[in-house]
Amino acid sequence: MGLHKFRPVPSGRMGTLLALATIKDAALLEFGSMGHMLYGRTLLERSGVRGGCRLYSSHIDESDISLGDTRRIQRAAADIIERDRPEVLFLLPSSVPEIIGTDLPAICGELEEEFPDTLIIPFRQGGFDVTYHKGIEEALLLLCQKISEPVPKTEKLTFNIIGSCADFYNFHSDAREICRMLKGAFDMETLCIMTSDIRAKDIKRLGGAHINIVLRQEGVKSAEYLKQQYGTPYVYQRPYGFAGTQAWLAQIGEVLGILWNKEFIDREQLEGADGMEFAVHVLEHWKHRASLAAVGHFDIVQGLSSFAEQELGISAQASWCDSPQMATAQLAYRKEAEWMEQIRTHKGIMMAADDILEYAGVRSRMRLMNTGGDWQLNPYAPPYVGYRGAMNLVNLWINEMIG
Amino acid sequence: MKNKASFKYIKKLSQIKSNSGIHFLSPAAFPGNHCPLHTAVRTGTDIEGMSSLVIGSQECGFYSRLVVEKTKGDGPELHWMYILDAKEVVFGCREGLIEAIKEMDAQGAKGILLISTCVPELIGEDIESVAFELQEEVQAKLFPVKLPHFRCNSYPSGFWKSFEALISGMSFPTEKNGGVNLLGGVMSPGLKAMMEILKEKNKPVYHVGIKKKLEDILNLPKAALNLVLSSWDQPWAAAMEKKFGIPYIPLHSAYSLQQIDQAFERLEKLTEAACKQQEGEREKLAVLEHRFRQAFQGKSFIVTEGRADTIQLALYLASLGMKPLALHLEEFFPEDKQWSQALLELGMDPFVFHGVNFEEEGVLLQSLKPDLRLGELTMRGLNSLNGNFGYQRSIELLTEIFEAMSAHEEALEGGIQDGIA
Repeated sequence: MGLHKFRPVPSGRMGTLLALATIKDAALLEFGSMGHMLYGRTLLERSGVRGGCRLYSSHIDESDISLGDTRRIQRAAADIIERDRPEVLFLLPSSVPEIIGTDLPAICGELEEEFPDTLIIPFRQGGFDVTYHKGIEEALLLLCQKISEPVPKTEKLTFNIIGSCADFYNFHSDAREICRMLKGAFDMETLCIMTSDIRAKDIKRLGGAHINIVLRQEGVKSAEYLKQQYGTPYVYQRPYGFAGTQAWLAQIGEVLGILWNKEFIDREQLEGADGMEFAVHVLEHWKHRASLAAVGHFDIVQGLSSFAEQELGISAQASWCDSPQMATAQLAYRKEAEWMEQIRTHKGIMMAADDILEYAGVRSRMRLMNTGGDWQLNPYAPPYVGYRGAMNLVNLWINEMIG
Repeated sequence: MKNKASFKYIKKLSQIKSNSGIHFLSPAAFPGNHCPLHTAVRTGTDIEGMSSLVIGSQECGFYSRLVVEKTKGDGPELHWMYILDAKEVVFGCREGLIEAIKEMDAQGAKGILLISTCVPELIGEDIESVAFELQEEVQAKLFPVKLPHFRCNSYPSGFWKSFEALISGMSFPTEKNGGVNLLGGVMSPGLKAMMEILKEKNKPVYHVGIKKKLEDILNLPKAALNLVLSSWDQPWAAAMEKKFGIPYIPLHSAYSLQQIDQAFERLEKLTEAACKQQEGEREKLAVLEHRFRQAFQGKSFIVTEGRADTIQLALYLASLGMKPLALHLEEFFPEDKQWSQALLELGMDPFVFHGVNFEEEGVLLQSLKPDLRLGELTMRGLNSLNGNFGYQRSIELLTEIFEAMSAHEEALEGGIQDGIA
């Protein structure tokens, strides 16, 4: 880690919180300093999380640390269970207990004996070299493993979304667009949106869907589990751009063995055709600014880059992802020292966190990740994915280039 | 196991000697409180010319950006973070920290508030010794402050310990200016009038308010007197008295007529200026206090407002005949030992707790059947008491209580089971 001039990549603990905080009828308890959860709630509220999990902290003091006393967490858990009667109680790891070796799974075992009617799930991505991606991956997987049950497939065609989480900017809007498109293209209904719009007990029904739509690589293990357990196939891709979205829908149709609604597809393509044509025309005259620097999660940046380069002829070489573990030869991870030099001379479009954009001297507000630097109060904001996302991006990018 | 909000773990004032004796009223904080990192970062960003380095986990770094409105990758004020990795959590981060400080110095930082949080404090990282050893090598003044949240319940120490840390950057002045430093507080009309009087006497006045300048702070020892307007500022005033011999007058704790009179007398003596407020206000307070004693002798109250100086407030109302039943404390300040003793000497020994779940705890506190509940009154906010001084402050407080109690009596007579208590 070391010196950071800009926000560090969130920890695995934060990733777990971001994945779980949107789940309704659940409670989450952190055995750690209260300040974490207070700030965590602020980040979540600013990111557009409303009415999800009830978030608690037990706090921790010097005597708890020196004596290894975990009665705080036991008293807090008991209080929450007796009062809130949550469908499930999540136990979140925290930095201080991680150092002193607090055994959350063991504590969970003791609590389960005392409260046999409450499902209690401990999470383990508390280490100091674990990034948020691992926290989200574990959260999604444990939810599938611990809560989903064998259920019959739904009569009507349904799908689950795996990996709609509060760390992505526009996560509500993107999920809404996915649902709209699958309804329109295949008359498919939404079963579960993991985790941005779901009740805890609905996770039991995950196995009833006909296909899982995986929006990020952290959801692949969960999708594999659901495939093994319930025979549910999955498609892992974020759909960006017109051609990109169509290819994604084609893949879904192929997996399900059904044809799409051609009328819907043609209409969606037609609606965006004029805008795309104009954009391509404008780009002829603005080649010197036809460069995209997108910074964020690998799957987002890769999707945007594909749309930019393949459908609009906008170079995405200036883009990078936020995880060295996810980086590839095509999409690199860059440390601060590397990109700080590059960013101030970039001419073109930038999509990044507020502190990076401010450093670059760019007035853009095109965000990709929720950092708390902005308020995302509008769940109906235009998406970035899908057909409507493509129209939105074209509009934003063209205006950014010529502005 | 009965685990709802309960007085089971709550101590009485007579048993409290520090923050560690103050327990939660309910075991699960919802929402809980900010940690002292929050107010330390705020302090660092509010001082012009000051840079800051948050030393801790990813959470500390990431979340502290919610307080730092502008991150600023480069100078002149740098607000950066040092995040410990897995290896440093085991073996320490001294080397990396030294390199980080040197880089900030090379980039032109004039002062750096080194904010050490839970993780480095838990592993025993000695940032004070790092600062001490490095100070000779760097131009930037280094101000280490140790603020693990596990040593307190809430945020105030982020303010007062950060202010205390600034003392290390101050030097003995070559000449004094005979002026007055106003530490903390807001420049109310009453305080402004007092400051004008002092300026007329050619006494420079420097208000160390929310926004400050580093160079001015380092020159505070030039003054002849410190006036304290907030509990957050008392510790560094005491430290300046100890190190530089600058006397201080705590104005923030003067609520009663007698205390305010004494504060003015001391102020006039030390400044050789007639600073007293209008006589009319003094008389008004005298009348009000008399009426208050008559009206509310023996009536009970609780305080749930964290932004008030709770023990001082309780002491004032107890001196007027009321009885405190339970007090929420955000922080047990160093000076609170004397106020606790004074309250105990009046025969009062309330519960002292830290509230973390308003929904749950309100029901429990109501079971004490207090006549008055300070914290949910429709007032300008008890926090308006902070940073203020004078007869008018107490007049407003007592007037508001009169109004609240009258409204409550009317509500009860009307058969409405609502209102204050």
